[in-house]
Amino acid sequence: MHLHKYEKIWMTFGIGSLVLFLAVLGVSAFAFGAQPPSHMHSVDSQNLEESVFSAPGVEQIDETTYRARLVAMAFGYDPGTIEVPVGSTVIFEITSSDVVHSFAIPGTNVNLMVTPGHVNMTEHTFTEPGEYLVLCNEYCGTGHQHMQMKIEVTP
Amino acid sequence: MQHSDVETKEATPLKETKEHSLKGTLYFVMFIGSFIFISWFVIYFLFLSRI
Repeated sequence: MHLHKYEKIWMTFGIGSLVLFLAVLGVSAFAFGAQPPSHMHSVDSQNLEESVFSAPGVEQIDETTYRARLVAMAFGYDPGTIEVPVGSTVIFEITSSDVVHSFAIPGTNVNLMVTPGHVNMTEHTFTEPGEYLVLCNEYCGTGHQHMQMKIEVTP
Repeated sequence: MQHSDVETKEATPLKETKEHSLKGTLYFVMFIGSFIFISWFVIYFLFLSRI
């Protein structure tokens, strides 16, 4: 097969870029444990009162690690405010009691979908004190734009 | 004996196809390629900076 000299150049560039992108993702995933926010855990969304989500809130796991179990619903989160000290790592476990929502903290990598029946999980370390806004970025109904909560990171 | 007067035809060489100039295509492909390449790394480093 005859290939033009220039075709060889751009095919090498294209295939090389693809291999490089996949290698970077592969090393991040398998050597450094990077993963998309997800969790295999499921829950009965009609009966959250009898699940681990019966009393949503923050609990301390060890000195600097907290677990925040949150329920998203139209149009807010339960609880509406959580408080953690600066420097702590928060493991978010979130589910929805009605429709699909999302949980996004602008300016961070926390951005996940919240699906009824599933518990979605991600973690984030808060290194700066302040008030963090949480928004729903998945259109969930007429009050979608009011759906928010706050994370207070105390010094 | 019949004498063959059919002249053996010499195989005519295939017409050499003239190579098109792909210079413009190369520039455009490399332009789009560099855009994708650079944006990929900008987004990846943004992700890393927010960890």
